[in-house]
Amino acid sequence: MSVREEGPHQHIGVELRGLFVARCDPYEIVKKTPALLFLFLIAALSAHAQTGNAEAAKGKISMCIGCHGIPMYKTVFPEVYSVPLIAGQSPEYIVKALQAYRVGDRSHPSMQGIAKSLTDQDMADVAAYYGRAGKAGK
Amino acid sequence: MIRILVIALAAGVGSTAFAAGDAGSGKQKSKACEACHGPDGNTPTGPDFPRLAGQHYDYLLKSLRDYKSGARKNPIMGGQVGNLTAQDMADLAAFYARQKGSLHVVR
Repeated sequence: MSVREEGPHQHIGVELRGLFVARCDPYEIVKKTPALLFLFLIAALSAHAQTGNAEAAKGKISMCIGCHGIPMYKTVFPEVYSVPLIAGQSPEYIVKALQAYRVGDRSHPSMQGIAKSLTDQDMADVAAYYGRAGKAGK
Repeated sequence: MIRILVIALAAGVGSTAFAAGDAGSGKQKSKACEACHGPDGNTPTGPDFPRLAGQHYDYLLKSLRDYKSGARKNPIMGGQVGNLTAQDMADLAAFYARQKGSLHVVR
């Protein structure tokens, strides 16, 4: 492998075992760095769980409080049972429950509809809100 | 008509009584649950395992039944409920519903 300079544009040619020559212009690399960083950021964000914002959830919990905000409230369709207490669960569990409703791994019709209407960020925010409520309630 | 209603009501009460769980028996049956949910159901050992302590009895029972029927899909719980009878599930639900925990209602 040899590195050599050539011409006024400071091209650096990298020759690998004489099979091919890769040409890299340092100026081009610098120009593309923001785009590469952006792609990296997107990959990193999609690989990790969303960070929830409990404050942002305050505009999103109107759908939750009609059932989960009423003590001993019972759902009546398709079965009669008490809606679960969710304040105080961990945010991770709440997100997992919402995702399960979204993909159909859990079966309540209202919750499936609501979960499908939520983005990943919405789920993280709502989970942070009810998870934080748990800490305050201890 | 009234007679039919009375019979229906009696049958309803009867089936509820049959399903009622015994918290003491539930505690004895809860050893397998401890590993993830904690001995009291309020100290889960993983961030995405739910707290059970103080959760509503009928919701806990429905959850166990749904895991058993496959209506609720979870690889861990699906394996755990396989050997549970209806009475076991009622007992476990009764035990965890009675434990004190941090679950509550907020608006």
